[in-house]
Amino acid sequence: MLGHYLILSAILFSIGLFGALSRRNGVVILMSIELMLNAANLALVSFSKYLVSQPVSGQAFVLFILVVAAAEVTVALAIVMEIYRSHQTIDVTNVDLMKW
Amino acid sequence: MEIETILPELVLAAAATVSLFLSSRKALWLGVGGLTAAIVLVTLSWGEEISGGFLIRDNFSWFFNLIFLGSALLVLLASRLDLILREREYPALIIFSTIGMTLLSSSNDLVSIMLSLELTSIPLYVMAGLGRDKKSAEASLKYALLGILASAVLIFGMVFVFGFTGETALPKIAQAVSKAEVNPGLIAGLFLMIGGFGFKIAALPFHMWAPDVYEGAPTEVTTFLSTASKAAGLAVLVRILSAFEAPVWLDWGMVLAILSALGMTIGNLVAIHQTNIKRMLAYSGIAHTGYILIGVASLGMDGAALSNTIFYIVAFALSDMASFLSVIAISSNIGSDDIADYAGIARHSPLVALVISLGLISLAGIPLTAGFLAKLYIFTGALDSGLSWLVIVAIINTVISAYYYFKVIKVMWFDEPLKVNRVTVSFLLGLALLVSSAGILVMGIAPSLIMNALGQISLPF
Repeated sequence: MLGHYLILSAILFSIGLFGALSRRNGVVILMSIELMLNAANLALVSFSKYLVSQPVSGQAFVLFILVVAAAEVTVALAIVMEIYRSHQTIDVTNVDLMKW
Repeated sequence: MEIETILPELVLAAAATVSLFLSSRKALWLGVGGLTAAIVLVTLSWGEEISGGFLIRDNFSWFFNLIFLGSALLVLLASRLDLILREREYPALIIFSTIGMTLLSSSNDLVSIMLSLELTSIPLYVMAGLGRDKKSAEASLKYALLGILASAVLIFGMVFVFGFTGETALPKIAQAVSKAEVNPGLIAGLFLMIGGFGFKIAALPFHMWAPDVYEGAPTEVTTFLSTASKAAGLAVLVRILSAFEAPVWLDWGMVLAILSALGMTIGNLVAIHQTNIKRMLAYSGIAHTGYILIGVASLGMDGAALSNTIFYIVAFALSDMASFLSVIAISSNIGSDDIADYAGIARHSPLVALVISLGLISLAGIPLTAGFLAKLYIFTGALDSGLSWLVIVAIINTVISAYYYFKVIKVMWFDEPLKVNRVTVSFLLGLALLVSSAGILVMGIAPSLIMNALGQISLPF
């Protein structure tokens, strides 16, 4: 059973990573990253259920990840707002003043 | 857990919180006071070892705390007054980020590593945007999106390490790893974590954010990023890797050696072509991360590697600090970051030109500076642990890097000035410049002063 959850988690993580790297809308990129974090949460709770002798530390870890994800997204959305104010777009391919 | 475990952080958090309710100037002085008090507390605690659950305060963490607090203090002193007056939260943001770093270097558990890493990063995302122009907003967006992506990868790696060892505390993970058989899940977990931290320290190939963020962010924030933030990522990387030292089937030393060779070579080659000094220093920082990773890669094989690595981190932080602080001074006067506009600066302002030249020759690794001894120690250590191919790559790179450092020095001292521009330096910025250049010279001439302290640092497992 653990294998199924881990495969699902890996698929979610890959979808998230693909979305984060290929999407152009700043908010959609953030949503994709949220998906990656939730894949990590899913793997954590399934490890806690099936593999680990002390499940509490894993489940507590999930709560911390949720809090961190919320904090990150709050700040990142504020930054996307700032980008919209200065560039009039949230398409990240148009935010390219600096290139090598 | 005793209260003194986190006493410096409590002082800093109180100073930062109160400073949010004060006027800009008072907030600045409260921040400076809080950082100074924390430095005194940390210095007094040298040699003590307090271990409590999520945190462990040993000499390793005290020493790194001094690096973070010192860089934060110098950056705060050197910050332009108009930035501080415009952004009242700026001192508080720096201090919150510093709290994250001090906790990060003291973390003894995956949960506290993750939390303090976020506490370090989130204020930095905001600080990168404090320039309030298009470039600064762009730097902030790039840093935030890529940073959050990197921490998602890091957290996924932590989950696997937790899943296959069943523990979140580093000492227990070290035990479980030493007993474990060949385990692909654990290997994947460790390498995902190295990727996440590689982003934090701007190691190739996780470096793409660094040049853009360094260029777009206010130079004060860039200074902080390239010194304290990089040192924090390296500190936690060293601590985590020491938990994975035992198994022979997990040769992370070789992986780090390859990352190091890539970082040095590509960082230095790209730096040659840069016309913007902040961008050039960003690529030079990527190359220096490569040099530092030589030390990290030989951690398992060479007993002196730990003190050599920390010596390099300090030397790099001081040299980069001197260079970037001079960039603040020069660029705010001539209004440009282009190397071409630095022509003939030395004609009118020899002192500032002297400081930035000292920083650059230390980065290049010329004798009598900190950078030379740092390279010497780390290269001889790597030779002892059988990484001679890496040392050859590093020496070739040192020669390449001298070219672009000396190009800047030549432009400043020998080119005809474009226009008469005296660089005026405020008293506090001058003080910060003096401290960092004195540090470079002292470390370069009397390394035993700092090496004695580094000899007392060891990792618990």
